[in-house]
Amino acid sequence: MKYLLFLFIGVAIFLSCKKDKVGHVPTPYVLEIPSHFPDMIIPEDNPMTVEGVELGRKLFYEKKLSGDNTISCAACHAPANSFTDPNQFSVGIDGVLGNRNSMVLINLGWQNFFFWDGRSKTLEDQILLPVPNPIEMHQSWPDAVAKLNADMNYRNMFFNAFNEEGIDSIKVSKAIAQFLRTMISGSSKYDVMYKFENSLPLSTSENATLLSIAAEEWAGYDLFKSLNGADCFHCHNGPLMQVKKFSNNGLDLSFIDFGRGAITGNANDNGKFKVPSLRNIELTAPYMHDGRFTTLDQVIEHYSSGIQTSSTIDPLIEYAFQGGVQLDAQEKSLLKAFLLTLTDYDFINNPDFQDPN
Amino acid sequence: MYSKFIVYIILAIAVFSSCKDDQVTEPIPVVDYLKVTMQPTFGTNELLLDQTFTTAEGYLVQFTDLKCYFTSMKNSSNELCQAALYDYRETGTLVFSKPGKPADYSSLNGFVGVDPLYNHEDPSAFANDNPLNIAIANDMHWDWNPGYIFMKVEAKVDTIPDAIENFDHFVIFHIGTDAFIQPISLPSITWTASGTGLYTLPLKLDMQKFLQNGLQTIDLKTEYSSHSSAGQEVLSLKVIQNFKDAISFY
Repeated sequence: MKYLLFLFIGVAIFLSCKKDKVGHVPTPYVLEIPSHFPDMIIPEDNPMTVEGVELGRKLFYEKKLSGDNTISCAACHAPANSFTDPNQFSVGIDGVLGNRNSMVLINLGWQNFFFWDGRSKTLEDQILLPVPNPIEMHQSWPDAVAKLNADMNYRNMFFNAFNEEGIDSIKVSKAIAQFLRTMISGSSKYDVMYKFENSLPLSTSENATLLSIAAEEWAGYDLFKSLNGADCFHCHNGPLMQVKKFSNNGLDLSFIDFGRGAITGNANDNGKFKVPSLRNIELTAPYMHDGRFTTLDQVIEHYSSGIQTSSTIDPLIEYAFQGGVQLDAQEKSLLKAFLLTLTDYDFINNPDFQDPN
Repeated sequence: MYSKFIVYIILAIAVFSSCKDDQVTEPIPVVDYLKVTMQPTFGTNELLLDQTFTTAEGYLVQFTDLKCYFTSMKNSSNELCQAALYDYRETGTLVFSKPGKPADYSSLNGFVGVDPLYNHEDPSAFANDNPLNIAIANDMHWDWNPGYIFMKVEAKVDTIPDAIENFDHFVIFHIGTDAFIQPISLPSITWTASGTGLYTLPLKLDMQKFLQNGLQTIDLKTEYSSHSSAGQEVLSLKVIQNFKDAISFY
C-alpha cells in the first residue's frame, strides 16, 4: 500500500513537472505620433518595446559592430547633423570611401524603401547590410554577434528585449529598427504651417509659433509650392515633406551611378534616386545622393538654372527645357527662408536619441 | 493484485492528463468578392507604360504614369467601395476588390475623383488601409490646395516628325479640386465569375479616346500641362472629362 502511495505521488509529480520559463515580458513602447502624421505601421514580428528601443539605441552607438571597434552606426549618422554625415562620402574602417552620401535618419517608420536606390524594403533588412559591407563596418555578423555575446550586459539586454536567450543578427537589426522608429520629427515651424494650411487644430504653443512665422517664410512657402515659382512641391510635400518615389532630378546628362536602374535593370530607372525628405535640410549638408552640393544655395541654384535634361529626367521638372525655374535673387532668398523652417530643434536635441554611453 | 491496481491508476492518470478541450471548428462563411480591373489601351492595343504610341497628329507618345481615384462607388445607397486608387505602374490593372454579391451591384455609380465629402479631410486621419490615407495617397494629395489629385496622366512626347525619337516634351495633367469631379455611371454590369467566390468587372481606359474624344481633342503639342490652377479651367475640365469618357466596359 505504501509502495502504491509513493508510486502515485511520483507519477503525479512527474506529470505536474514542466519547465517553468523564467521570463521577462518586454514593456510595450508607446510611440508619440504627431497628430498630423499617419499611423506608423509596425511589423508584426518586431513590436516596439521599451527594452527593445533601449537596446537598439545602445547598439546604434556600439563600435563593436565594426571590424576594428572604431565606428558605430552613429559615425555616419551623427546626431549633430540630424543623423547624417557632414562629409560627402563616409569612410569605412579600412579607409575606403563610399560612393554615396549618407542618408538622413528621420521618420524612417514611414518609409517603404531604404538606401538611395531603394534596395531594401524594410528597415530591418537595411540595418543588416552596413555591418558586413567591406567599405563600411567590414565585419561578419558571426564576429559581431560573438563580441556582443561576450558582454554580459548585452546578454541581459537582449534577453529582456526579446524574452529569450541568445543574440543574433536578426535581433540586432530588430532592436536598432525599434530605436530608429522612435526618431520622429514633426515639430518644426513647417509642421505648424502645414497644419494651419490644412485647417488642422493647433495647440497653444503651435499658435504661438504660428504668430512667429515671418512674412518671408510664408512667401518662401508660396514659392515652394508654386508651379510658376520654385515648383518643389511635386516631390516634397505632406507631413513627411517627401513623396515616396525615385526621381532623376536633372543632375547629369549621363550617369556614372545608375541608382535605381542598377537595382531594377530597367534603363528607364537609370539616374533615379530616392526622393529624400527635406526635414532638417539646414543641418544635413552636403546634398544629393553623391553629396555634390555643400550649401543650400547651391541646391537652389541647381533647380533654378542647373537642370540637365537626360532621357530619364523626371517630367515633373517642368522647366527643365530652360535649365530650371529661373528664380531671381530675392526668390532664392525667400525660398531658403522657408527651407530653414524645416529645422526641428526638438528632434535634434532630444536626449532619447543621444549616445547612452 | 498491486500491479493491476497500479496499471489502472497510471492509465487513469494518463487518460486524465491527455484530456483537453477539443476546438470545435466553426464553418467559415463564404464571402463573395467583387473585383474591378481597368486595362489601359491605345485604341485596340493594350497600353504598357513607357511604350511608344502614335497620336492622330503623328506625335510619338510614351505614357509614364496613369493614376486616378474612384470614390463613393455604390448601387443606390448600397456602397461597394468608399475609395479606390488606381495606379497602373504600382498595382497594375486592379482598381479594387471588395466583399459583395453580384446581385447587389448590377450597376455602380460614383465619382472619378474624390467625393467632396472626403476631399478636404485630414489625409492622415483615414484608416491605414484606406487609399485616402496620405501614406497610400502619397503624391496624389496636394497639401497646398488642399485636397486630392483626382487623376494623373504623365507622358513624354516627341512632337517633331523627323523619324528621330526625342521625347523631350513632357505632358503633365494633374486634375483635382471639387469643381472638376466627374460622376461616373456603370449600368447593367455583368460580373464575370473568376474563381470561387470571385467576380470580376473588367474595364478599359482607352488613352487614344482620351486624346480624341469626338470633337473634344487634346493636342499634346499645345495642351500638355494642367494642375487645375486658376487660368487652366478649360483644359482641366476637358482632360478629366475625356479621361472619364475613356473608361468603358472591356
